[in-house]
Amino acid sequence: MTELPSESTDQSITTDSGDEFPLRLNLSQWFVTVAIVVSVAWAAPSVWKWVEPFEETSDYRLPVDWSEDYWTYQRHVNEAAKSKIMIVGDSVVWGEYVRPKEALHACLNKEMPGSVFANGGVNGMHPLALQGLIDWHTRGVQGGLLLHCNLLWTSSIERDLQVDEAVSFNHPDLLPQFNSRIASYRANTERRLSTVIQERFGYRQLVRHWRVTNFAFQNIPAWSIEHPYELPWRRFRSTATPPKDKPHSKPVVWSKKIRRPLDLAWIDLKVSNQWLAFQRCVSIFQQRGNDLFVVVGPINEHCLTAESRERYHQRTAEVSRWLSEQNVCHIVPTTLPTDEYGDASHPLAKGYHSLALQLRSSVEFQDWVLANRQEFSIATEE
Amino acid sequence: MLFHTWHFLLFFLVVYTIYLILRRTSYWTHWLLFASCVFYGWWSPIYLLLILYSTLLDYLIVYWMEKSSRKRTWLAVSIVSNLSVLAAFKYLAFFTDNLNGLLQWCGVVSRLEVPVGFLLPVGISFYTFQSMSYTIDFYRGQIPRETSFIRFAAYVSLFPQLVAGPIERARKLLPQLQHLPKLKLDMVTDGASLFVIGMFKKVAIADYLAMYADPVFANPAIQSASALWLGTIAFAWQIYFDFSGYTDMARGIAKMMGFDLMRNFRHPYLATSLGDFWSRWHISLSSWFKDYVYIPLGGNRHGRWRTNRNLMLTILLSGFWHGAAWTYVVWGCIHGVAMVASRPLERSPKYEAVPRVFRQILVFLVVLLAWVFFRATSVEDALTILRGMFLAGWTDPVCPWILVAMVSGIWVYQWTTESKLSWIWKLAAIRIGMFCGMVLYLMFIPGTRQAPFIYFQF
Repeated sequence: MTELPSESTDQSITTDSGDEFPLRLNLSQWFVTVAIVVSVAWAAPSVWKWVEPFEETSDYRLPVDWSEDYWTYQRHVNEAAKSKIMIVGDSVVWGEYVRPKEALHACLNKEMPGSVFANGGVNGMHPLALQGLIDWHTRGVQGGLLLHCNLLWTSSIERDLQVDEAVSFNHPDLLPQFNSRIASYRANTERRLSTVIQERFGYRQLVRHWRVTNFAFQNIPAWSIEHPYELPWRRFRSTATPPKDKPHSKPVVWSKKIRRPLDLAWIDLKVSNQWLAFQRCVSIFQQRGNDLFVVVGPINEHCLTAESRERYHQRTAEVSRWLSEQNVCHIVPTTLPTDEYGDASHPLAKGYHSLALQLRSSVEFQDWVLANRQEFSIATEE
Repeated sequence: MLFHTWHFLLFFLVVYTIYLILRRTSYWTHWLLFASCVFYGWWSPIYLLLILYSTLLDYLIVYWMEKSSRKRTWLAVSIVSNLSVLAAFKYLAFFTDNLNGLLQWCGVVSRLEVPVGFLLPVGISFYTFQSMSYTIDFYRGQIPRETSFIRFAAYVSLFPQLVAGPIERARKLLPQLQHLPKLKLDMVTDGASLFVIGMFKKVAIADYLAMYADPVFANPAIQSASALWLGTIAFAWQIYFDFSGYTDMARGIAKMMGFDLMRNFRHPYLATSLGDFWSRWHISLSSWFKDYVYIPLGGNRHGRWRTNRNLMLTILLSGFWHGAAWTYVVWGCIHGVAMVASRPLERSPKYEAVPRVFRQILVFLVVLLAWVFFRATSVEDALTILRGMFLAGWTDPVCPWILVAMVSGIWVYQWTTESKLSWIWKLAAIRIGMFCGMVLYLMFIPGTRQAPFIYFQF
């Protein structure tokens, strides 16, 4: 049809003839294409490990800005767990107010000569997300594992994600997407489907790594709009950035920030999303044959009202009872001195030291460390 | 349910598997109809009532038309009923609003209530036209009556092309539904190829271009001339890739099931005249208007003046079809006027002597300026943009060079397909390389944002 007025031919039919799209593949070409694409997607994460070497140091911890870079976390954990006992948990393990060398793992290493702990904490890693992290990203962890249980996540319905409205929170992609109802998580089905499918592909983790570490959490097209004259490939690093040797938050004692005692509700553990998730975390590790040791708290009881403290004690007793029933070695340390906390749950440097001393004085903990240290020694000798 | 979502992928896997199983039975059309209802109902189940109304109406009207000697009356009933539905859901608020403006201008105090809360059902303009084509074609004696309601309903609602076309004619698609379509291996591989190309066009190109064009059009008054030009160029390519991407995916899906849907685009920005542009852009709509509006109006049979009048009216209606806003009317008007004005020029030997590339650039410029009205939120905004394009200062447009490189690359690609270099794209290595590139790009680069197709709003 040269233009609309020609009416002698029926263009609706004639325009459909001829080689309408030159780019098409036949069956054998599709096979080759699929083979190439699958190979690239499969090989890309391994190749990238070579492009961007990861240097495991004794005090490595995932930078806060990279908290959603589970690919780097996985590399760190897989590497560290070969010779060390991972301490897994949230920012209490990570060390919110302390430098890497002052966090719990470092204090334990110092107080218990010959012990081999590594920092596996991730900022904002609440149990519901931890469950996904463990499920998808810690499969390489064998043997002993120290799991921290921070009950602060069960202190209110907001933290327990029970509020019946969309709430912004950390690590939503690690949440169970379909098999449990979390009132505050309102992602649509498409997003959930996408998360479930994509979390299972290694190359998607690499894509997330690129976005988190190089492109300010954006995909390359979106990033290029904000950086129109930059070359994206120049953003890629030649090595994983070493951890910053400074605390994430200014180490100030809690009493300068919290003026009134907190009346935390401490919701019933039977209906707590976070506690159920923590139970599942324990169960996953047990099923994998990990030798688990759980540290419950200690949270800052000094900042609580008497009633709230009482409720908290009831919860810790329940947790301890459940862990005993599951034959999981555990300890519920007493609360640390008041000036050793930076807020309701994070110790300051002195606090980690005190906590390490408490753990060292526990016979059960000593035996557990010994057993796992021997295991590492044997493995190393072999 | 958008084609480039996991929802659709799962939906299609289920539908396709069962379709392949049922192909040997007489239930395959039932299954297609059911799948199409699920697909359409996914937006809102209430929409199904509307499509059922349109389908039932035309099915019964043709039935009565066949029995009756007053065929013309039945045709009028069909056209009026279909257009009434379209008017009620798409244009009522626009008409009321403008009528109120007119009343106010005349000094009348009372105002008509503007209907609010009317949801524009997705794809209503597409399936209404498709359904009407059946009645008109039957009236003209070009097709026999479809006896099976299920088959007719499957024709109106066939899910690949239901929400944004191509607007198929009954004489082309109904026969494909009357007999089990032969499903050859090359149809499946071609269908898959089209689907991947369409997805790449939409996700990798159109959505990227939108990231630049959207902010420019959102706040045109503060943009520099360079940004306005680049933003408009970005939108011109965005709408092309968005819509042609959708069409490619629709055709790919249909092809995998053994159906052949018409081609909707043919490198429109390589057109050398405006008539040529309309033979390359949204072909199923322009040919619909040609067959059912332009030719019945008299076409080019009654002299230059009436030809121009028919042309103008057809293009204007085509513009108004896109949406209930003055911007679309102006868009249609610009195309109509430009087409009428340029016809004598385009037919002159001197114009033919102008190098092809210059003619292409000239046509692209006219189309580009018309797009300003199509994209702008109001006529005032469009005028602000046009003024800015020529009068605002030239400062850094802050346009990613990757985007510029991408658009240039696409233009070169399209140019080669219509040049002597088209053999390049027949080389197996090039094709495999291109597909690997597209699939890997889709896997590694874009975000998870599922932007809807622009033409879904029409």
